[in-house]
Amino acid sequence: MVGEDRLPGDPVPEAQPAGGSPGPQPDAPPVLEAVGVGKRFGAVVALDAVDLRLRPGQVHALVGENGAGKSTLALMLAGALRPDSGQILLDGAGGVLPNRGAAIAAGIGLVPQALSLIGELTLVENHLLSLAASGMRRRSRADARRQVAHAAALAEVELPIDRRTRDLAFAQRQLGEVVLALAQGARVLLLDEPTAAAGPVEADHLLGRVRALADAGTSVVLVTHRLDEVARVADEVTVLRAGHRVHHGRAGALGPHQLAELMVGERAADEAMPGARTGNERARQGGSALDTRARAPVRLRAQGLSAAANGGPGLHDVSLAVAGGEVLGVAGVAGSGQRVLAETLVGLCRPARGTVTVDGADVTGAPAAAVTRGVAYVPDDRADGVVETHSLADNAVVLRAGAPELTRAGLRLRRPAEAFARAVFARFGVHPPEPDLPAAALSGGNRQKLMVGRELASRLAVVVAHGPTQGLDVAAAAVLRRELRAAADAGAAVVLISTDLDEVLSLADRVMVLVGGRLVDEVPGADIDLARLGRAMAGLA
Amino acid sequence: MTPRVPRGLPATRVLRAVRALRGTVPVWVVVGAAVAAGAVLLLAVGADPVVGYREIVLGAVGDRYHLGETVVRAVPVAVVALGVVPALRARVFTIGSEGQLAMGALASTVAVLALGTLPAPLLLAVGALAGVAGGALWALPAALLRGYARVNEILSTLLLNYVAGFGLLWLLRTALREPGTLTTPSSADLPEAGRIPTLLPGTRLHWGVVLVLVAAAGLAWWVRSPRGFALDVYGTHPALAARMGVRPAGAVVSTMLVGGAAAGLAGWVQVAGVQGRLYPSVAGGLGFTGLVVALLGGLRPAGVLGVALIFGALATGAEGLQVGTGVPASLATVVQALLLGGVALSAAASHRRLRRGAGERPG
Repeated sequence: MVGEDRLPGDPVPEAQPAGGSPGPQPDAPPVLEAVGVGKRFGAVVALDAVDLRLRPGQVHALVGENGAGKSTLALMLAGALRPDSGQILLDGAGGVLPNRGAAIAAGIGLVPQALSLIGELTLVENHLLSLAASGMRRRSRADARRQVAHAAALAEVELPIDRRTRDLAFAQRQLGEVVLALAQGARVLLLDEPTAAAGPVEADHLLGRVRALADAGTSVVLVTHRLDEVARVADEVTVLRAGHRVHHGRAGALGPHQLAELMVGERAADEAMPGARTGNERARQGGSALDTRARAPVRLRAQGLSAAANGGPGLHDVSLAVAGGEVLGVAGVAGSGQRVLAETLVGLCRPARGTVTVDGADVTGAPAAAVTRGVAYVPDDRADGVVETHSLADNAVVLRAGAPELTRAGLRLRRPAEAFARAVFARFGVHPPEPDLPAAALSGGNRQKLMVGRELASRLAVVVAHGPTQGLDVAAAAVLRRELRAAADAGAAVVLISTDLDEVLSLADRVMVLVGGRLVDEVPGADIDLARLGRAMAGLA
Repeated sequence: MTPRVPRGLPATRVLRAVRALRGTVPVWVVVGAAVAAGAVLLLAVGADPVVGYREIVLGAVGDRYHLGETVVRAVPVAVVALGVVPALRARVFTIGSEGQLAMGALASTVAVLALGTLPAPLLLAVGALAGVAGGALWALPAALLRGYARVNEILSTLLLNYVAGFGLLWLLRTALREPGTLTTPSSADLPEAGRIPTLLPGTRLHWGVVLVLVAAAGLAWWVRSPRGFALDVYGTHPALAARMGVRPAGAVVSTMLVGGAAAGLAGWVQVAGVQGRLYPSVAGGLGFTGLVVALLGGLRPAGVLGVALIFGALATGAEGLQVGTGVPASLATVVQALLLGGVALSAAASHRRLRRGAGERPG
């Protein structure tokens, strides 16, 4: 039976502290606590006796490398995953969470890495659906709408709550998830890498809202890779490494460098920092290097591309040319047509007008011909690039399955494929390096490494990378940047499409800005200037 | 604040308990429950369950003849299932095997009757090829519609089953009608040279079983071939498959035609290997059963062969039950379905356990 004093799914007021003083309360008893929790997945120990204390009105940052166990811990705190050992306590002793439904009823909201909104439904309808799914009291549509509107007002965000969520921008959907959690009466928010795919402006806004919610009494666990966010919004920080807690304390006490050191352990933390802007520095120092590249033959050329896209701006008369050895950065806020641009460049999308050539050969709308010509593609959604039901070895050789060295008498050979896969694992740090394991067994970051490694494994003419370091920890992201640079140095034309301006700046020799499906500004590497890019991205250029 | 953890409504609690059990129930419990349910049904109609189950076992594998019957039943089902696996692996849900089987049977009957004076080897080849052509041809419209116009293949193949079934009935009552078969219309008997020879004397087991082994070997090759791999990927990741060189229309049309051809071949096997003539219920659910067997067999050749044999044993066993205890045929079929369902559920459960063991984990 449900408690009589408050029905689960009642509107938001419960989310505010009951008469208590708002803001961080360092010594208050924890609202949600993990005590010595452990979890194994098959042979892999994801978490080993980890503690985490979330105090009321605080933002608690949870950082660590890919596969360190961050998402696993978040899911346990949300009641969505049962720990093998240890306990999840709510409001001190006693309140053990048996399942996700109970956790929702107790006010624990989860915004997962992969957003869970149903695209065909509005925010209000999604709210009604989750009320029904978690066995809460049914409500009328008008009631539900009031709850969502109230929650949005509380979070001080303006959202079109009556539009289908698939028509919303990514950042709006993310805020929508937060609002829905609040509408369900969440007093604890678990945010799993909310800024991973957001542009700088969107990320700023989201973090600002998170801080304001915490100041109003909501407790937040913020899973993140972006170490600068820790100091900016968090009160406390917990660092995980390989399933162990290696540090916890006040967020301001350690700088990003020190946190990075803790995360990666013995390895060189300098290399792991995103600040290492090898490509760009080189471009700035040696104008001569850029000049040489400019004289190198153009390997990728797109002319007059126009394409329609579902739920996006499409492309409008986009032309670009990238020489071998050059990295072209394409900056822009999310939803500016990045995906259709990437898919058109690699042949997956046939444009209504225009052509794409690789080394002079037409590959417009011909994805297999593009692969044969040496075109690598890293899609922004790794679910599009990794086949979960197949083994890691299969995923590694997917684009070369019919190669003579991998087949005999029309049959695929196991050993050479495994050898190839192991080489990819070693070069890109895929863990665990077991060729037989289904890809579903990998953590999100390791799937990304597997996919990127496979794409960059052969000799390439063109690389189209769309948000390639999404969800990667700092060390893995550094490896990936180095590999993209190496591909360019080996003669490939690289197009880096990203909403992360730091990433674009750290690699690109030249930056173009995409706004509403048009390339609006082009900045040579030597003149890259954040203010100018920011203005262009906002459509002010 | 005290934690408010609702314990849920009674129905929710039951659901939760069932969910907790999921994946922990051993196979034998599920099969045992199916056996027990069958026993209750037998008791309800006044039959002795012990005798009933003994008749099922004896009817399936009791002697040489019944063993042969079991394989005879498994052959067409296995041929249909093996043929439809490539399409299902590519997530092309063609469910037209029933109609394709009927059309294959029709085409081979017409061809063999028309060329009845040819020597046996030629006549067998004519029958087999006509069956293949008939089945593939019946799959072609649905394949083209799905491949080039994105018409849902589930709907089109399902509807074509009705066209095939009633079309066959109409032809048997008119053009193909054999005088003297008024109540159940059927064609003239095939000439002896056009019939598949018996493999095991004293049974109805015919050489068609060799086709199954050839088809299984072919499928084993397909599953391990680069092209088969690419079509697997097409099923879940069409964009990635496009980069591997898969053209969507080509993938859909080719797999659906293979499925149709196999079903048509099974139609010829039924006419030329078992009955010796064409009759309205030649498909008789074999097409749908083939789909079920393909799925239960995990879309792999060995699995399909195993499940097809289990199906054949249950089908002949149900007949044994009917003959041995006098229970109605429909009840025998119900018991058969219960057992098959039990096997299927436990197979699904152990499959899930395997996956869990492999360690799925969140991102």
